[in-house]
Amino acid sequence: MPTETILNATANAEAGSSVLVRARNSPYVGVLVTDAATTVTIKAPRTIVSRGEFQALADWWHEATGHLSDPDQIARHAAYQRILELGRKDRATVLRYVLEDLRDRGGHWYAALRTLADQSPVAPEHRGKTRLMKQDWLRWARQRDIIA
Amino acid sequence: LLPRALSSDLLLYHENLTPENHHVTSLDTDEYNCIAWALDDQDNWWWPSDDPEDAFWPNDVPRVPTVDAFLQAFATKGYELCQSSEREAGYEKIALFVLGGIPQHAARQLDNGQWTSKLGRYEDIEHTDLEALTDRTYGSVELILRRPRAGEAARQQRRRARQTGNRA
Repeated sequence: MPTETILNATANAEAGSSVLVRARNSPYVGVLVTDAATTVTIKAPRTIVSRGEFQALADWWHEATGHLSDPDQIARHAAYQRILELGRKDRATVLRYVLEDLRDRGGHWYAALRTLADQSPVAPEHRGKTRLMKQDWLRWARQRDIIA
Repeated sequence: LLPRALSSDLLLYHENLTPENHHVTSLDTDEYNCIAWALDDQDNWWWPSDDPEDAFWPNDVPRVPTVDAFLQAFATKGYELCQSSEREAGYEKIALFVLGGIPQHAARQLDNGQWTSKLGRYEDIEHTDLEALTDRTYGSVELILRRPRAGEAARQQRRRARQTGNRA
């Protein structure tokens, strides 16, 4: 994976741990990897998933699954699975695209978000309440400067 | 301003819906789904999804997409099986659509005898009959359930309380 070291900084992360970040005032989105207890570098992979490719898949998915109620059936759609595949190549970019799509068009993106972010900010009492789940995810994303 | 009928793209999935047998009654929203709408709940997305985070499902009901599990879920809200989809004074009714043994959709009967449905995360519609949504997407109606209307339930409770009091 091509990387560019763009800053050194301090962070409260243990050596060897990784955190998904977007550097402030920088176009780089990447994985924050600690190489010592307090020194970090941002390894910024070049974007390899284009917005157009994501958009075409997301359009297909919305159109083909919007009338469904079963979240598992919605997530099994080929376009959704292809988006997850793209996320394995370029996790930070695809995560940002999915969050922007959730913000702008909604949809049952939650299984994909958990996979891409490797966590869930949804409060236990908000489970199954999609309006509140969406709020939790967008707040999480904005706190990390992933989306505007 | 609401569109009169669903978009032609969506009608492709429901070959028996026509501009004459339905009209749109809300904007689209992903805040609740057809099961929630049938149960008059606009805060939850009901489904026995694999991951409990993705959808609400009653705790004591098996989290599997079977007709029996849906029957149990509706029972938590006071619904029981009945035979007819005809309007019955004092009762509200739900129809469960099933395709290949797997529940797909639910519709709720209105006071006027017509039905209301939420189509996934698209709009709510009012449709003249259950045949309007009997199709290759939602399948066909396998269960009809009913419960006393809210006022009727209270009346029945008062009647039971009176009878109990008279016996005592």
